[in-house]
Amino acid sequence: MKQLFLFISLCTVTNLFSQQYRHPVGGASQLKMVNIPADVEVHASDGSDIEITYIAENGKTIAAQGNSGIALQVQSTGNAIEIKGLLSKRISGRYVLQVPRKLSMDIRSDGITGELNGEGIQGDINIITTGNVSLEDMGGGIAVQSADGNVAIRKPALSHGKPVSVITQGGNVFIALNSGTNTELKLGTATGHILLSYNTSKKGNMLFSGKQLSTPLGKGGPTLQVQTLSGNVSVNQAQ
Amino acid sequence: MNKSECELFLEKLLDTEDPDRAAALLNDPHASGCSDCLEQVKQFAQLLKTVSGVPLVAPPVSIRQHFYQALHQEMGVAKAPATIRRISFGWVAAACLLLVAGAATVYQFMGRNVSRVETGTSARVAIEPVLPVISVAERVNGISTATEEQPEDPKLVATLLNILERDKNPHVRMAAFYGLTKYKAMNEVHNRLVSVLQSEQDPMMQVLLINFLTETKEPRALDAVRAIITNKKTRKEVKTLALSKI
Repeated sequence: MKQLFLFISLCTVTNLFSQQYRHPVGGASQLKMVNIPADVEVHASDGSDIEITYIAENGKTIAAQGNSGIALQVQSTGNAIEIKGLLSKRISGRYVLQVPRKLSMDIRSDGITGELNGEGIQGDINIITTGNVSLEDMGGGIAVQSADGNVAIRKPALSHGKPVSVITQGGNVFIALNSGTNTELKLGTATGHILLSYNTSKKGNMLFSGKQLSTPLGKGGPTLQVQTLSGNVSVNQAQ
Repeated sequence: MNKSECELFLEKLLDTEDPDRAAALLNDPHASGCSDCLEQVKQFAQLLKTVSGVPLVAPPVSIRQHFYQALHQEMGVAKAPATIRRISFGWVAAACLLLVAGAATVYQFMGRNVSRVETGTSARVAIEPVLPVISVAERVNGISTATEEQPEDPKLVATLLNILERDKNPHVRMAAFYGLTKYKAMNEVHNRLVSVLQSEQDPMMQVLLINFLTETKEPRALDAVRAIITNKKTRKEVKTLALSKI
């Protein structure tokens, strides 16, 4: 009984500091996120709407701006849904998006200044950011451009026609591949370091350490291209 | 000939998806009396015949969705159907652009400055609005696939050079660069890469070009590399790399 009471209390407190907005996807196939000065999480869901939850930190709720009421203007234009941030200053809370899993979506984020975490999205994703990016179990092609943020991509599909391309300046790049991945590696850095450690059935454990690497992994396949200026690049096998 | 009669006839023609049925329209009373329509029938029958002999390649779902939406916006239709069973001229023409001649399909996904298969002017009208909504990943994949499947095609080399020189997207440019490295024996490729390095502002591309041109011992690249070293705006990482290469 005491535990139930604590659970209900916790839920109530959580609800007090989270605000939610739903937007129907309709026929849209693209999601654009622009100028969002907060951390963003994007998760695949089984629903048919895009559900955005703002989770406050330190008990601070967000200004009730925009049609979402959570400082975001969300609108459908053509085949895209655009989510535009309305605040200019960085905020400490985070936005959590639930995006329909079955929908093929391109996510283009331009100007997210916080961290961007994505999981399970099946469409192609194109990210331009200054912050860190972490993506896991993405089913589509991936293009990430980050200035000094680190980029971590875990278990990308790298299936037919779904390449991965990452460009950073000072940000480090971590790629963890599924076992048995077939890809064409094109890795390069100016002053950073590349480290590859990957077990293949034919060649055994592939090890490389240096500044440039262009080689097929497994049987070869979709391109995995990474280029940094000073950031290190690490490619290994997902545990 | 009465314009509305021609329009009605052409509508009937464009609703035809079978090459034999299209050819049969050569004997239509209207066509036999209208030289313009007769020519349209001949061209369209040939087009259908060409398309019918080419194996179908399923485009990615996202491209198909973008295509239908753009096409239907042009046609003033509010919402694209889930499937299109009847073949309209726009679809046939786009199908030619997407399917005819194998690797030509891939060229369509590579950029706006791509050599296109000639299938008639209407085809371009239908496909042009579609290209800008193709994702970056699809364009990168298009370039990689093309360079694997068409290693000896001079049109492909020209296309890759065009993308490298003019495209705005760094991922796409990088893919074009890696595609071009397969043609390192071609003098033209070296000339153009040296030229790109001389004017290149993007540090990422500078690194790729410096590495490639110095490793292939391209003497004409030395001046460009020196200029990069002495340029005050050059990133220190690029300078460090350039100094280590000369």
